[in-house]
Amino acid sequence: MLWISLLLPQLPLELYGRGSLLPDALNDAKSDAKSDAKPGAKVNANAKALAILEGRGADCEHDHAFSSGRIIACNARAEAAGVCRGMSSSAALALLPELQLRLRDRAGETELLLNLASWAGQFTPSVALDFPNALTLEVSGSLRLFGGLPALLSRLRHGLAQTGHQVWIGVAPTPRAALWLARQALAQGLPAYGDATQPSPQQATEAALPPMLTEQTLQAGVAAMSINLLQPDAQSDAPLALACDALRGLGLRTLGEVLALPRDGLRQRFGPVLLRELDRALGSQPDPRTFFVPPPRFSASLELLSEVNRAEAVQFAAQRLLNQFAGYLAARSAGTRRFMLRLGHREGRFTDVVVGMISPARSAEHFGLLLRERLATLSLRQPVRLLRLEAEDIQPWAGADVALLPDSTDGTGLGVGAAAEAWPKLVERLRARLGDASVQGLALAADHRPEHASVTAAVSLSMSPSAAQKHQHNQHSLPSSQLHASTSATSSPLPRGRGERPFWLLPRPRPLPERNAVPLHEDGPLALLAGPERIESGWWDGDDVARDYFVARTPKASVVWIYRERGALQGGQWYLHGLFA
Amino acid sequence: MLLYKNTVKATLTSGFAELDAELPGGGWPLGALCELLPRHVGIGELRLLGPALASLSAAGRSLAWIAPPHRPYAPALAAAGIDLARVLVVNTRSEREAWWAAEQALASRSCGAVLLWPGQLPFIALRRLSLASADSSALSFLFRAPQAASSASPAVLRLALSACVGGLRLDLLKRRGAPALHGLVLDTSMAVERSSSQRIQPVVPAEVSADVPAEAQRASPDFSPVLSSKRLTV
Repeated sequence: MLWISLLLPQLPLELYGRGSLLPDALNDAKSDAKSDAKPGAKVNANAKALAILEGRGADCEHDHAFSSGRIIACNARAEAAGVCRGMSSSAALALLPELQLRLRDRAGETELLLNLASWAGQFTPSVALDFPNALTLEVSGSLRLFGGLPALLSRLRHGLAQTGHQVWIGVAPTPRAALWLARQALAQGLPAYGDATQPSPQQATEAALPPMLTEQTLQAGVAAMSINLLQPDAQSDAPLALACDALRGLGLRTLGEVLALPRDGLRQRFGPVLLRELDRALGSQPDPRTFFVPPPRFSASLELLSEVNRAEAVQFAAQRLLNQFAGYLAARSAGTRRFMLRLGHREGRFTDVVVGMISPARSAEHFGLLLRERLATLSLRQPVRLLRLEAEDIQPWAGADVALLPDSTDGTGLGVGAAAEAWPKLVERLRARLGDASVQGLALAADHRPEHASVTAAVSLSMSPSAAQKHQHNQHSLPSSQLHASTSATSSPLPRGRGERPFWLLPRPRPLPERNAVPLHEDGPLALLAGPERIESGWWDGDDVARDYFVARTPKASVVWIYRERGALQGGQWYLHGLFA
Repeated sequence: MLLYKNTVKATLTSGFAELDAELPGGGWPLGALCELLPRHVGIGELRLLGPALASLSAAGRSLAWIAPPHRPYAPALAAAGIDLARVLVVNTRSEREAWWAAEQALASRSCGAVLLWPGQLPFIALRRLSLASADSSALSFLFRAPQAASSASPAVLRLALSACVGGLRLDLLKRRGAPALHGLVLDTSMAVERSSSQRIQPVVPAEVSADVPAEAQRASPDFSPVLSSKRLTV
């Protein structure tokens, strides 16, 4: 068993701050290059100072908490100004008048943690929740798939950076030890794992690994841990917290010292909980976990720190949600054909942006591109303060077949397989920008009337030769080699029953004047080459046509398709209907 | 070695032996921008591409028609051997959208051929398309006005098309390698053009019905241009 614990102590803060367009990383990297200041305290001049308040007990009500609450978390900008945990809101505001204060939203944090659990499901089906702010993943079954622990950790780090979270990681053979290890890393002031705001030389390399315990080092590692890791929330009155207090009162500092005490005495004095915790951490007692099951629908929201009216800012925040969404889809091995981004304005009003796809997709990058095209054409009437991503149409992911042999490249440089994958994405992208009606396929219709013989059709998504084509071959009893390999398309015999058809058909026939019974094109009199081909059809649906079609050549040697209306005794009006390009 | 690979890319036979002989590599260049400058619409510019498009679609490659000047007509494409399921028609509201769509189609590398009617194309857009085309393996054709021949272009192949007796006259304004000294004439004429040596006089419907009973004409949709031209010539 191998457990990875993801500790997210900044969750209250990230609930509000992760959607901000100016990530600390961006600006801090710059300021770092300039001044090379001490790496511990990063100050981002552009980021807004933010602190989270929490009221105590009965003060949890909104108005009261703002005046009496204490700060439980603040970002680097606020910290640099001297704001710290436990400070009252008035003291913090005195230090930093522009400080933004938010009330702690425990329900929101839980929702965020659940969403992260969904996201983490892409790495392993065994994701356990450690409330209030940690996830524990059992990954021994996934190591092979992801190419070993360092590769898996690197993916985790990359993914968490994209969803906008700071995480401290511990790796150990038991879940409890992994969590304590992560807490230890946090308590020792180690930088967040893979945190781009802390570009110290060790962290800069991809191979930087979080603290890790193996079966051999587990005993010694746990023994060296501080007692405080058992229950970091000192205010809690849980039995474990009381036990910790008592142990500290005895002058014990590390878990090793606790383990050295007689077990019977410990059990009598502190109850079974303390011993159970220690035994589970060491693996001498089983530690059964209930694993998280992703919900059938996806819904995640993100509150913006300040109102936003630029599309890029919305895009940036939405990308955070899309990354989460992609992880959720991967965890459920599903794809989606439709998702909706709801942009929340003031007074509970929403603008809904629906993105549809023609085939199920699951890539955050692809979602982001589609959304960008949608947002580019959207005009926001009001600033946005909340984003909510919802998807109900979750479908099983079919997966792509991978060829055993390398892709055949058919002489065009790119495998048909790769092209087949890119094709639906191209169609979706064009549709997102130009509208569904502007991107169409073509199909034949069994109708003699020329304007009805060609219809728009849904774009075909499969890359194999279509059934229609095969059918057409049979109908014309032409071997396909003859059709395709003929040196000139015109040398193949005309389909039976039809004259030549032009490549371009005018949407509406254009009337042509006539002189001496010869139709006149804009270039001059037309010379008739072939005809008439009589087409009479359509009396049953009211769009009756009775025409004699001719192929004609203009004086400039263009070849056109014209017809003369039948019916009148002296010959009807001439029309231009197509161009033989 | 690498240099050689870069200069001679894959080609696709045009289906016309005379043209293949003139094109470097023996066919239309893949992954390179080509310009066609037809003097008028309707002189056979699409018939010129017919065989290449047909063979691409038969191989399962998609054909993107971007901002075509008129509706592509399905029966004609089918008659030229093009698999209609592979055809994508993109209509755009502005020239800018058309360029964007063409660039996307090329960049996605999923199209076998991209045909673009770009309208007035500034050099920067032309350059972008040329780069996108070089990254792809697609046959990429721009249909431009004949006046564009006088302006510079990053396209590797530029053909001016004009109609002449017996088919289509091609002048290779630009190609890789040695410049072409003379144009060539391809027989892209349709069967009806060759078979009708005589002009047809239009006839009033009354005479037609006197010659051939109207019922017979309706009953037999078979149409032979040669036959009717003889019958109808007075």
